[in-house]
Amino acid sequence: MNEQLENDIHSVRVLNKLSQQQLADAVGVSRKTISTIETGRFTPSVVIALKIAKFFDMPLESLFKLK
Amino acid sequence: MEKVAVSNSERELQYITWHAYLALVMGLLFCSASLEPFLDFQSSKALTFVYGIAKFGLSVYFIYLMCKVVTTMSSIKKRNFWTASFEDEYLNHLNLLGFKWSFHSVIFTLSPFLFSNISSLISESFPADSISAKALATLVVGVMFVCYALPVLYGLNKSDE
Repeated sequence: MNEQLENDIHSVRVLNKLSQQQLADAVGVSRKTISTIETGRFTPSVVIALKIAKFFDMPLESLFKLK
Repeated sequence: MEKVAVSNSERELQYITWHAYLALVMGLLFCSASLEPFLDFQSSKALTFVYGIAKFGLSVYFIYLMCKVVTTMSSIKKRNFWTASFEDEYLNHLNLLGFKWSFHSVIFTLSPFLFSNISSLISESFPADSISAKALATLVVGVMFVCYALPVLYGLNKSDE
């Protein structure tokens, strides 16, 4: 678990009734990338973070927060 | 039957999975080949039998994995194949982690031989002169393959939770 960064991707994804695979296909990454970002095991690059935020039409700072 | 389109990331995932299993099997085969002269097959027939079965099984699995890697590698981009990189970020991270472990494994494997002239304790445990250059190279390559495969497979398995 990343001790500095937390994200709300899981809750936003569930709220939008999307599977990890659907989000992964939309962003252009593998399902494992989404899975590890959600659990905080992997910190994504700015590009992927911006793509996810753009997909959900949300500002980046509402998805990713510093602890 | 409808053909499901597989994304580039999923193809890369298939490739790295088979590639990691292949690296593990190759590593075990190389390690066993280098350690063969040190095993006492004369006194124990059971050891010879178990070792033979294990080596045969690994060899068959190696051929199967080789076929899998060859079929999946054609589906990933040539540039990525030759530069040993992945477009998917997490897979690229795992690949680099494997290379990092592999690099450190070489240092740890070779250090007893490097320092065998300095300490008599090490030279008695690891007699550098008793192992041939070929056997040492085989051992190092084997350990490198295993140390590449383990963090990759662990990372792939862990992300399924």
